[in-house]
Amino acid sequence: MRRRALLLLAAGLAGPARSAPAEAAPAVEAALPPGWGAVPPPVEPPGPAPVPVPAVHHLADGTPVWVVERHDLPLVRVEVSLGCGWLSCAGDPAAARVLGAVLGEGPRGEDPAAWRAALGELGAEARLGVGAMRAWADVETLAGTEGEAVALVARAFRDPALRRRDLVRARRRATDSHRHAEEHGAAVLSAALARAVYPPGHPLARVDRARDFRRVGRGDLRRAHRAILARGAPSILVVGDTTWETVRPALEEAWSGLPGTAGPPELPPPPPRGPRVILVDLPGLTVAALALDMPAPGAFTPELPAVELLAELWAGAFGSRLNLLLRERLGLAYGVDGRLRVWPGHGRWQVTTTVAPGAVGEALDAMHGELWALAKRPPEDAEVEAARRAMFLQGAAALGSLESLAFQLGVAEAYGRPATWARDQQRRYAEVSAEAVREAARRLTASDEVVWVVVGDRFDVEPALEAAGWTPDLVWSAAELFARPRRTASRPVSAR
Amino acid sequence: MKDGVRGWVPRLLLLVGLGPATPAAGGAEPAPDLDAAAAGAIDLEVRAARLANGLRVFVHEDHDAPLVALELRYAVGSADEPPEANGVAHLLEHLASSGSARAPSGAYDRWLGEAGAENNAWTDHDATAFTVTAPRGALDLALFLEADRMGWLDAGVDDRAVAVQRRVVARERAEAEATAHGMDFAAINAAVFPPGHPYHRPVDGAKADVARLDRAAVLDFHRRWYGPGNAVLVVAGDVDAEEALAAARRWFGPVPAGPAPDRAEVPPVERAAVPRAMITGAGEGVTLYAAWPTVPRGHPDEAPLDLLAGVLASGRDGRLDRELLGRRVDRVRAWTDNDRLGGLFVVEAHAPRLSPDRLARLLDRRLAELARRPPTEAEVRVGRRRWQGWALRAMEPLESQAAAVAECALAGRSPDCAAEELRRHLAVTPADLARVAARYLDPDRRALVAVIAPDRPPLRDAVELEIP
Repeated sequence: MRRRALLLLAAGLAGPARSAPAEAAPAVEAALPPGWGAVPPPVEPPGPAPVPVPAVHHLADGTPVWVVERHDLPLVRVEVSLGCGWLSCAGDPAAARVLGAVLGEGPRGEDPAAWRAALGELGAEARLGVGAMRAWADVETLAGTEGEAVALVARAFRDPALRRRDLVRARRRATDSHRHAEEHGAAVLSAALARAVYPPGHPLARVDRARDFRRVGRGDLRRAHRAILARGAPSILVVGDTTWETVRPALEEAWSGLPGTAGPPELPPPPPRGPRVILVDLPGLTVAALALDMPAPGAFTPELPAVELLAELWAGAFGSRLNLLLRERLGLAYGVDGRLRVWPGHGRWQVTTTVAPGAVGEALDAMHGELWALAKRPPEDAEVEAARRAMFLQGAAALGSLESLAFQLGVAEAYGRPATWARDQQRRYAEVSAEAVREAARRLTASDEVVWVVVGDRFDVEPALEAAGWTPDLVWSAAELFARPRRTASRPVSAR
Repeated sequence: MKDGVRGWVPRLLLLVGLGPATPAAGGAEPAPDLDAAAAGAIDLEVRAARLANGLRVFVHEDHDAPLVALELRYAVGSADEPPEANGVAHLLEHLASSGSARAPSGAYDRWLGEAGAENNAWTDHDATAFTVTAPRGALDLALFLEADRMGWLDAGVDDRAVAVQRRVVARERAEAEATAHGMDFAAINAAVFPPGHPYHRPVDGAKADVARLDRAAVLDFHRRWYGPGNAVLVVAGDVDAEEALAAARRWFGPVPAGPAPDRAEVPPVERAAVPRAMITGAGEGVTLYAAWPTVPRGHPDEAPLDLLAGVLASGRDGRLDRELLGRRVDRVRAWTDNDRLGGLFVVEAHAPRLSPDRLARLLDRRLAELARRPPTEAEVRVGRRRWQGWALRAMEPLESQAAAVAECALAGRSPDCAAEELRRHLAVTPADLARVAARYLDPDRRALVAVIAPDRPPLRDAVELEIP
């Protein structure tokens, strides 16, 4: 499997300017039909994807409802979002997350198996949950059954059972999944980045610990649920084989009367803390995990599209600079994941990979060199154009399923953007100049807020780092990341 | 090692949406025309052609978005590898992007990237697929690149590229080994299929074999199996079918015909090779798999086995979900995986704190209930409807449409067999489920495979598996 690099907002393929076709060796040339492929076929440039603009309606109480009719398959998707999540306004984050795990257990006073079977009989799949910034109740069902499906899901979301046995199970699953988090490379890397980037008290500095979940009770669930219903501003998105007139009565019946007005809040950027190299010791880890974390613009900002294109061409998919180097030229990594994590208020750009512990120094050198090469070898026009086309492809691919289309539109609706946002975003990519992307690269390489994190068995990793001239500024133990915060949590070792 | 689970993941996704109602669950049957509407909706209109060199080409027009999805699927996978070269199919999949006669090293990814296209590839037991999703104006480029590496890969692959991709494949395995459940599917196959069976070996290859593979071995495998007569090409999307067929002829027509595939017959597996097996895993607690050998893809019992899996476990409301979850068991799944030479029916349970033997007893007790309490009409009705919803959703993206056509065509079936499959599933009855449960889920035929965290006790009398 060739692994696809990931970006939260941006993903795709890009690459430097096209190379001239190589001359095939004479023996091969003789085997090829005369002239066959001597010049690669031309490519007709794609344009922005034709993302539809939803029709905007409202329930009688003012709740906005965006509707996109699509009649190619007999399916309907209805997504309901409330602008209140475990990070933003639901009170105790652990309780809100456990609540999210039990919302799908059906409505109060109803047999959960019968409730699920009723959904099953419609061919419906429901997804109820609580995220960092919002809670949701989504259902996708066979056309003609959307009214019943909406009613079933709304009952469970608005008046959930919150049974003790469901709580016990969800609590135990959450506890168990975090009980040994300090032994798992991916969890440790995530915790280390939270600790490295955000100061104590920042919402994103939070590291989940098993004990936070262990103490959640039913009263906590009820409080979190009340907060979400009372505070989160509702919005509804309907896509698929239905019409506003068809679905409206069910929506009025099921979802009107939600009083919340809160939308997802702004999250402040972390204060500048200077560049750092952090080694996290995780004894016994057989691979080393590496991360590079850098500042990025916040969601919906005018600066973001240029950084998305930069992220794409530098650490996007197989043709990106970093993947070509680490995977295709050096064979150091199976792949590189680039991830832009953006919120209203600020964003971060994280690039992660895993390598053999003995190759950590070589991999860091390669990543470091490629990062600073952005200053010496700024993105070329052709690279920017390739990244732009990748964005167009993503926009077009999102039209391929109700779920992906709803995701693209639903983010804009839930964050209070106009209905034209997703369509216009494609135009924004079209309008970003290559110079704007180069300027973004200059800002990035001039930033002194780059954080490097290495998670691995110190016994294996440290010699490889030393051999390559890397000296950690801080050394943490994995267990320490999950301990109760203390005044002096880490040990400064030396300045790089 | 996603390759190895390639056949596993889609089935799993497919089955988690399935599940039974309780016998008491009522509810009126939805409007009867839903079945016909669903099957009709995924009846793909496909234009087909066979080139003189044997390549079969299929085109499906879909003008919803200005995109095209291309899938070139070869009828070759790890099952076709020489015994001493386990991993050559997977390594070749990697090397196919490293250069060919007209596309120098790195050009495949770069040129597609410049066009705004994305590409990927996978290998499993029986097939290797290369996929491209591109703006419609890049179809010619994608066809040219695929044809170039089908016909003239040897001109672009050098020893250095082989060495680099051997390292990448080794990283892929290392990641799988360090990931919870990354090696579970390989362990199940090693326990169910006997040594010497083509499915016994890991799809991503034995580490020692991969380390030995050189350019000659890889290109020999390419010459033998990557001929146009052993592949199907599918183009789906915003194209004119005639123009797409003409483009396919233009680029693939000159590719020389390869040797005819030559495979030995493999007898079906009647019972698991290792009744009790275990590996030490990177995850928490104990995960226990009860795995039975079943039927190859396309067998009439495939559909009832699929629905039986849904009746047993559907993520939340299957029988095992209701009976086991919350009693120190925190995950139960049931799934099927059917390939050319045989299939699997697997029940999976995860318990953070139980011993594997205790978990096995819990599971056995519940599975024994199937004989006394066969699936009801209400359970099967819900399973059918859920399957219907899933089948529609699964056919939404262009890439899925192309993959469905390739899968059908490579199996020698009608290219729109997805609709036929849905109809087969919608026709399944409770009696069918009772029959396949009795026929296949015999405790004496299965393998119990425990994946155990280092701090948990071993499974009694179990053979410790080593994935090479």
